[in-house]
Amino acid sequence: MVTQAPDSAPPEFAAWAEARVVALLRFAYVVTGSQEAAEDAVQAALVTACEKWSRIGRTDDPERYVRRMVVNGHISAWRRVGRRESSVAAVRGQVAADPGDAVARRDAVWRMCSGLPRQQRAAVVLRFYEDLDDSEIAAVLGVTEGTVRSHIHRALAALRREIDREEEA
Amino acid sequence: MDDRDLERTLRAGLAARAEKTDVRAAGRVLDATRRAVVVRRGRRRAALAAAAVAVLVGGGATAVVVGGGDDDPQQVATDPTSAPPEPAGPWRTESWGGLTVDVPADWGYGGAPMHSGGDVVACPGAPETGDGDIGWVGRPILSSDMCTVYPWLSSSPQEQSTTPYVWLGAAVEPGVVTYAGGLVEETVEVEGETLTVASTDPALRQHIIDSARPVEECPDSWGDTIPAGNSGMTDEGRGDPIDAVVCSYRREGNGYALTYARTVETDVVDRSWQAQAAAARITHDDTCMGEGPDEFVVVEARYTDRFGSEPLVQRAVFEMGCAGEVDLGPDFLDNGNQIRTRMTRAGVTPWADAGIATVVHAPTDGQFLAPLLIGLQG
Repeated sequence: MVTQAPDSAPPEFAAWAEARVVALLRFAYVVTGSQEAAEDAVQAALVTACEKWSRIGRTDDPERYVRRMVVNGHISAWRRVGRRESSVAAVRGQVAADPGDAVARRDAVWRMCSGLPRQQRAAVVLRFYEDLDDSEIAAVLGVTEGTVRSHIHRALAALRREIDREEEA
Repeated sequence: MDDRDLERTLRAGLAARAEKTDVRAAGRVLDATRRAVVVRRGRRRAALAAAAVAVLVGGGATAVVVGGGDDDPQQVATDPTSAPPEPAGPWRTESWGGLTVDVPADWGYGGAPMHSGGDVVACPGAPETGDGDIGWVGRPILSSDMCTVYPWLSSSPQEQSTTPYVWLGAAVEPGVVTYAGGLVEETVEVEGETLTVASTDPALRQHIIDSARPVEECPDSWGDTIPAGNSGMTDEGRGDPIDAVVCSYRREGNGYALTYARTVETDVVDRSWQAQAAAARITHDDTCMGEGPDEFVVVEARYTDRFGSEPLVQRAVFEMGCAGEVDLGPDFLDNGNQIRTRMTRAGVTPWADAGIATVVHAPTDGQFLAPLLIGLQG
């Protein structure tokens, strides 16, 4: 559902897109995990947004609407290829020298995210990068709030295991 | 490490990774977006106005030349290897609420899942017009007393069917369902409506989903008012035809929402308007005890005004109340006199196509229109 911001002219699409494309690319990169997929996802979302700009441009937060399209487009693309693509359970061989190092932990976050199914990964990004709550994430992904909580819980458990493994190493 | 530390680590990790994005791609993405938008606009205009578009093919590349439009370049070269394979046309548009999609032009019509008495049912859950094997478009409207519970019961014919369909506004949660017969049913939310596309062909599903856009032919709602009829006539007569539409609406909450939209020839509107003008006048209020109708159909054509800047609008409004009345607006010869006439077969026939026959219910006292509109028994 698009909420309208009454009595306000929408920003011009080209100027809006130019101002926001970098932020959208960063967001798409953490959602998709790949530079190429991020570019494809942002372009597809911007094309759709441009065609519907008379409506999207008047929403309270056009960028949130476009980010939602990035997420859904990425998940739908996965559905379209018949789930032939499978996520890796974990990325090995990149254990950091110093387990207590913040950089090592950030790498652990990325390895954990790389092993998540797309929808679960999207839930994690929407929570911890976008700061959305359960109901907002559920609306974006088209799932129940219980599913969102389950995604987040499992992701945190996976991250804890990844960090524990590093510390043991 | 407690949960709070873990969440902080996760936030920091994602933020750090986002910083590694190659943002030099921004210009590339914007350029590709501009090209894609122009090509899409060209395709849409090609469908709407083939005479304005010429497609030139040569040297392994395709160039789309678009006539008209202030914001489009005259020529845009595209790389044919980057374009996904498009299912073959021709296509027609189907609309519901604020949503319009393209569907294959030869598909028939049927029902779609809707809430009814605590259940979700499709009435019917199969095509009721057209060739049943080709495909169908369903809306959540009671158009038959033959209802099927949704989700389909196991081992039902629907579980095994491979006939593709599109449902507009159905009571279906977004997601993907794969049926035993191989049909894949994908539901998304777009323009405030659910769009369900089922087919064994992923390219067809994607084409239809990608075609989703705001409705263009008709207003998606008239709020709580019913528009007035109009002759669109002046002393000097009407100018050239501009366009003509048939738009049906039904009561949704406190207002009326679009259920069907179709562009037609202007003579369809004129034949309907003239037939209704010749019908029996209604001189007293015999609507349903003062309540407005649950459905109405706007049949409207626009013409240029040779002596004015605004188009002339010829509009007949078919109100599907108890008796079935048509508002034709002020009498051109006697401006103070509003013309309202009894709905007739001759007035409905010009615009009652196969889609209308599964979307609009005949007036309670107008069951003679049942072959053209939905009757009491579907």
